[in-house]
Amino acid sequence: MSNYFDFHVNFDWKNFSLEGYSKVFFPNIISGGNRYDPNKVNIAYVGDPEKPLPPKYDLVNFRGFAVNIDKLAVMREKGRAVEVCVSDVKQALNGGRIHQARFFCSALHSYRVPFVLTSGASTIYEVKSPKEMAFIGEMLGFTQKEALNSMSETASEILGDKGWQ
Amino acid sequence: MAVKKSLRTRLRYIEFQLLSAQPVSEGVEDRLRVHLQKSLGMHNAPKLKLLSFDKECKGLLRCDAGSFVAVRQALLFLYDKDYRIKLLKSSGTIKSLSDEE
Repeated sequence: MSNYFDFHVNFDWKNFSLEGYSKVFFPNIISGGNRYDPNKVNIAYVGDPEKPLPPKYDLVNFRGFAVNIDKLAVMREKGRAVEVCVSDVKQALNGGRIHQARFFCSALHSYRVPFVLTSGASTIYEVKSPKEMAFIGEMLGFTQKEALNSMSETASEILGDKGWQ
Repeated sequence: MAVKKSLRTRLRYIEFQLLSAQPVSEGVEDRLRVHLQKSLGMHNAPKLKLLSFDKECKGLLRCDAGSFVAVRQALLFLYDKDYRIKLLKSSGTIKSLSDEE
């Protein structure tokens, strides 16, 4: 049975195993001067296309689902993963920009950039089980298998790189 | 006149639970319908019926099989900081859902 991980949870979620997760993480967000923290999962928020990627990160979150082909190509070459956060997708849906999120995900698919689905949950009511995340991934253009692999295999590789497994 | 089996509308039943920090008031079906129309648009709005909703906030929803995937995906986005819809089971018949309990 696969282990599933949620890399972006913004509260102290104790009963994550009831939803099917092996572990969840409160990340260190790298933006506006924040630095890499070796004890946490580091998610770099990238919004400005002119600014380069930070020197060290575990995941990259492209703000507003802005497609930057150069940066995606760099990430594919280095084998680094992109974060697709469900709370960002919900904001895009409510703001009438879901097409942007889908286009971004189809770019990830086309350029074969590894990605990780995260919930971005701030309360217990915002959490999603791995199966629900797979259904959301299907809505974004991935297959259910790809969505589940993102939370298990890709996530395990990132944890392995950090020496946590 | 009986409809040919292959032409009958196939239905899908979804069992769900509404988890909420506040007590649930009436009008769950209307809220579901409004949310689905908003998510799926007027053109794709599915035929939906809330068959039951009990005190434990467990409900049974009926939709047609063709729009089942879209309804499921739309329901997953019906959440906020103090409530959430949890999808429990789905099936083509009510009997199989009640037999599994």
